[in-house]
Amino acid sequence: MSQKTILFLENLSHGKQEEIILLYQKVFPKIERYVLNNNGRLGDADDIFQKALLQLIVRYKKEPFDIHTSFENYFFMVCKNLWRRELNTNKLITHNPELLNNLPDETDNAFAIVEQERHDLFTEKLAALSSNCKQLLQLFFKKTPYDVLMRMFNYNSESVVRQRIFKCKNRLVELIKKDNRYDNLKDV
Amino acid sequence: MKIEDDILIEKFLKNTLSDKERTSFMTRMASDASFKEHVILEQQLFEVLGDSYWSFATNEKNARVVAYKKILESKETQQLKTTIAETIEHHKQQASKSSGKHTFSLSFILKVASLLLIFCISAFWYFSSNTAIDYAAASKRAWDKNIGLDFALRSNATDTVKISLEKALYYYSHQEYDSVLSTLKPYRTTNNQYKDILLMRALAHYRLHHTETALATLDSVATTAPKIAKWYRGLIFLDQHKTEEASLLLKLPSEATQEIKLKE
Repeated sequence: MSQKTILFLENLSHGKQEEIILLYQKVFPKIERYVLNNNGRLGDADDIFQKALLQLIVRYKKEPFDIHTSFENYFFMVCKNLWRRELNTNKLITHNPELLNNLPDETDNAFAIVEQERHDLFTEKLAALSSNCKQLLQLFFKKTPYDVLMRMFNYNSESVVRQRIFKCKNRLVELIKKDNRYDNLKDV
Repeated sequence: MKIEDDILIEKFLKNTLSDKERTSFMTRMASDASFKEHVILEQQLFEVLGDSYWSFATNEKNARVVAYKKILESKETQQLKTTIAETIEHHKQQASKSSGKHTFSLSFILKVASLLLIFCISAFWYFSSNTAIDYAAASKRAWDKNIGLDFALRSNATDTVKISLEKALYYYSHQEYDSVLSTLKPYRTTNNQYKDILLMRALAHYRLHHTETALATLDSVATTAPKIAKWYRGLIFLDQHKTEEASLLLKLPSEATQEIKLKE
């Protein structure tokens, strides 16, 4: 994490209003556009902004963490994930109303933080793979059928695709398991 | 990990194991901790790195969850939460007031602009006999909602139907509509996900400009999912500029920026 980001988070964690407003002015329009384009309403974007800000401050208070891009880009990604989480929570509740168990806000926010940490770990390790493995796995995890992958990557058969995915996935799993963060996150 | 195990795990996650295979799989999960860990990790990879799901945490006793919860519950964090909300609210009010000042100072210009606008609207009415609202943007947003296409979350199917539906959905999202129809061709009315199959077929037919077939197929969807059928019939009519017919099924917005809703 850069010194600039540390200072920014330090100021945010002390509730410095100028820093909160600065971040709001810089990033909120992008978040608002994203939420509105993805089945959200105006108020939803405000909630997501505030949740993401609190999440990053709480993470920072616990311990420093790595950000491999600009703070604004990372903040936007956290917001996108929180919105993805929100949409999937609604879908789950629509189809299984018994899941509506009214978790306290603090528990739900703590869950959202560890989910984001898991997302960071997985995406960081995926980015460390070769370009071919990365592209193949990105499509595989999006459930692209083997025959489509075969055509896209010019492989001779579906069996070759399967072998290649198997190797890439093993490499990814190996990288994830080697990272110290995995032990803390595997049973969340 | 052997490739045979990998195939087995994939089948388990896609819910395509037979009852016998599933029982044996669950027995192994219960007795082989390393295998279980691998299955869970693979499931999380699909949920996190795929774009349609999310991997939810559920273990309140996990040490990190407990630690974060403690920080979140602290008086200091609660106070910070209030500060953030109040700061943003105050900022929004200030921004709104500031734009209000501009409004006042520019009132003369706005009056002139209003008169000009009234003149333009009158001229438009004079020269145009039909001033229909352009529903294109609202219609696109309505189509993008992909109502009824969340098979993966709803399905508990244990056969290949779920995979075929997901494959068809993939083809649909990549505009390979003929492939949607060929993928779903073998399925008959006896299948418990037949409604989803019919819906996918109807949408593929529509995209292939077989509008009559699409509407007829939606009639069949209506027997089990009337609201979904009504929604898509409305959108198809709207695409064809049959606004009156569409308005019988959908609540059409009065402005292009508003959302289309189903008429209950």
